[in-house]
Amino acid sequence: MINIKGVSKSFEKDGRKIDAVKDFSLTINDGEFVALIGPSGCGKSTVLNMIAGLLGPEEGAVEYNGERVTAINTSVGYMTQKDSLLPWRTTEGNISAPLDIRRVPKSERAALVSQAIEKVRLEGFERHHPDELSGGMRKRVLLARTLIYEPDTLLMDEPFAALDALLKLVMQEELLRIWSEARATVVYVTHDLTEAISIADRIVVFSKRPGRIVLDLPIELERPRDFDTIRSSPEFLKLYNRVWATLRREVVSQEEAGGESR
Amino acid sequence: MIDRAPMWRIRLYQLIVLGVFLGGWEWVSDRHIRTLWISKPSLIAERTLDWFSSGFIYSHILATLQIAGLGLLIGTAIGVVFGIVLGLQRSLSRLLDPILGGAYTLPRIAFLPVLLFWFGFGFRPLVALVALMIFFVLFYNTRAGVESVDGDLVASMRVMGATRIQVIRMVILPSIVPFVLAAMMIAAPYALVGAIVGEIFIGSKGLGFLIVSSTGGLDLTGTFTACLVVTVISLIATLVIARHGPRLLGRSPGTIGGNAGAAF
Amino acid sequence: MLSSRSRIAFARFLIVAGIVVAWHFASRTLIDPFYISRPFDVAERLWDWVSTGDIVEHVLTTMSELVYGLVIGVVLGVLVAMILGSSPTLAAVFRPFVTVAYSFPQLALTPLYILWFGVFLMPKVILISVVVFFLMFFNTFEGVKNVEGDLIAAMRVMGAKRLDVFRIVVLPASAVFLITGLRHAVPFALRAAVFAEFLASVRGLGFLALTSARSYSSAGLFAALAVLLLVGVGLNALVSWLERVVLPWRSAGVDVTAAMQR
Repeated sequence: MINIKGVSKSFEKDGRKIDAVKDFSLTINDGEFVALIGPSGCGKSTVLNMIAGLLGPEEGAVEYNGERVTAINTSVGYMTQKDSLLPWRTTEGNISAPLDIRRVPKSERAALVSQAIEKVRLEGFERHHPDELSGGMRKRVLLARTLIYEPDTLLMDEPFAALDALLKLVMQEELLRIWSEARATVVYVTHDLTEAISIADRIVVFSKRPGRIVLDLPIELERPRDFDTIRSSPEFLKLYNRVWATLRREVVSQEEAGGESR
Repeated sequence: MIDRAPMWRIRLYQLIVLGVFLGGWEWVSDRHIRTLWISKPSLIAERTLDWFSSGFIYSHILATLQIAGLGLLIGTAIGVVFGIVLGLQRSLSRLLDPILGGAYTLPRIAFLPVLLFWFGFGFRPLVALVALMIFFVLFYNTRAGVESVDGDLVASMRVMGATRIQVIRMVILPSIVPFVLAAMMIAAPYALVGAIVGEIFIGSKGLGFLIVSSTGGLDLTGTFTACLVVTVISLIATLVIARHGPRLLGRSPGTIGGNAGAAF
Repeated sequence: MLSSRSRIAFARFLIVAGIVVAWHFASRTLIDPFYISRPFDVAERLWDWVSTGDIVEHVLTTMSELVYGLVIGVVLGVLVAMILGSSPTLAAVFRPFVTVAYSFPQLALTPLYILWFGVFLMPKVILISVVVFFLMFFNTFEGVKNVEGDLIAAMRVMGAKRLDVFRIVVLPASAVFLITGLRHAVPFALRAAVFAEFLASVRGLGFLALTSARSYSSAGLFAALAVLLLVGVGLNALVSWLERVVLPWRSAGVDVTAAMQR
């Protein structure tokens, strides 16, 4: 369980203090697939980075499984928009990096790696370098690398934003398939509303900066979800309109406030 | 105005320019200016043949290359360590920037007397001079390499459980390899300059020593021959780096080659 | 509370002060002051030079070597490069010669210049001119070729005569090369001046450093280096000022080489 209790975090930019989040609270239950959505710059990535322990809150606390996060949280998996692979390592080498870090004996690595490769369907590309892989394949490598040490939470910051629409759809389905087997908690940051509704159990809508929660909505669409039919179903449309009405207000008021500076 | 002459004519013109230069030198020498003061091409050619056939020159070439090579290695090691430390500590790096910039403005050659103070005469102050001359190239390049490492990559490695040391070993070191190699290629000609300049000042052998001792003995044929050898060595270094450097780096051939000629 | 800028300035001041203090104490306890002198002794020596006016002739000597050498080298280098660079045939003919001359370490000829021109101003001015000439020539030569082909062609198509091209394109462009070249040339000129003074001279800052070293006065040596540093910084500031006056439309230090020199 992740328990975020009244956290605040600000950044200094051009000598000015900017509040990313202020007095922000959120509880995420085990096994939940939560999408954080909001206008860009609203602090959703900040929240994610605080759960990962990469940033520390100035006020409040983040609790992970009842323990306060004070250092980097190594029981989570972390995946961002950028392909943060090691360019000089092959697919196998990249996927086994966490095992390397955790000093898993070499003899045990091969089996785990080939299992992971199978899971993300990359058989035949074991010895390719990231340069030789397509964008979608690199995402699969990242997924496999994140899953191989079996973190109980996946933190994902717009992991598929850089992909084209079709590939994005494929990867979302892939993620759901893997998630349904692994049953990890997922915190998924996005600004794509359709994506959020199709994959998540719960949507948390952020206000413009400093981020607070303006809507916390369960998505009670049946699983497993078939993207072809789900997106044209009346329930989906209803949810979409509901979230969009809230989100739109935030985006518009942010624009009127003079746009956002990244 | 935009068109260029065909290649064979360019080659012809080049031969003519070279011929006029060497011929003019040969002709002027002892007709208008005493050969003692300017030597002449035929004498230089003769001396070159002599030095190489007798084997006299090799020990001097070796001495210079040793100093340049050793200095290059030591300067690289120090520059890389500083580059990694300050690349990882950006706020410290920002604080030190104007101070380092100031140190960079001072010509490294000016430290020669200081180095003599510290290292005595002989081999060591020369190696120190070379290391000092190339330090900043290595330092700035390494730091740029560290700073170019993707923050998300480091963050994800840390979340996977990597310690700082593991991040340095698994991410930072492999990432900076091309930067360090490129910097060494840029630095190689500087190292040669440093070695020669140091030998001119305090050497007892090597090409720089050969230049200064020949000049002092009014043997300008020796001076020019030594200069010719230096030119050929630095040309070879420049060409080898320009041709094979990009392949060695695997990437971004644009970053070197152009600068490799900056021996000066 | 201090602004972040003045905090940084303060921290820098502390670092420099810390180095000086550490130096002061190290030079009696850790290291023999014979090797690194003491900041107080260096300051005393500097004050001595300034109050008696001894330093003036040395600074003037080195400065005049630098100014003559820089002016002659830069003007000739840019001029010759523009002439050769304006004709593709000439450029192709001289290219190999230029490459050879450029890769030759010009400082190696210093003993020769001293033999030919004596130990006073002349050999230094010539050495600096030659060094600066080749530096300027090479950079301008490359620059002219890259920048101007298209521009000149476009001007010609617009109906510009050769003289118009010279006035509209070549002259302003050469101003740019002159000024940015000057910036690159300053450290090289400084180096050449110091080296030539080391080898043979009767006054100048290099001479001062060397005679101090010869008489085993490390205070004098460091004091001379400090003045040299000031001269270098002063010349850089002068060039920056010149750049702002002559090329107000250009932001300072745009290209990589200039950035690397910083």
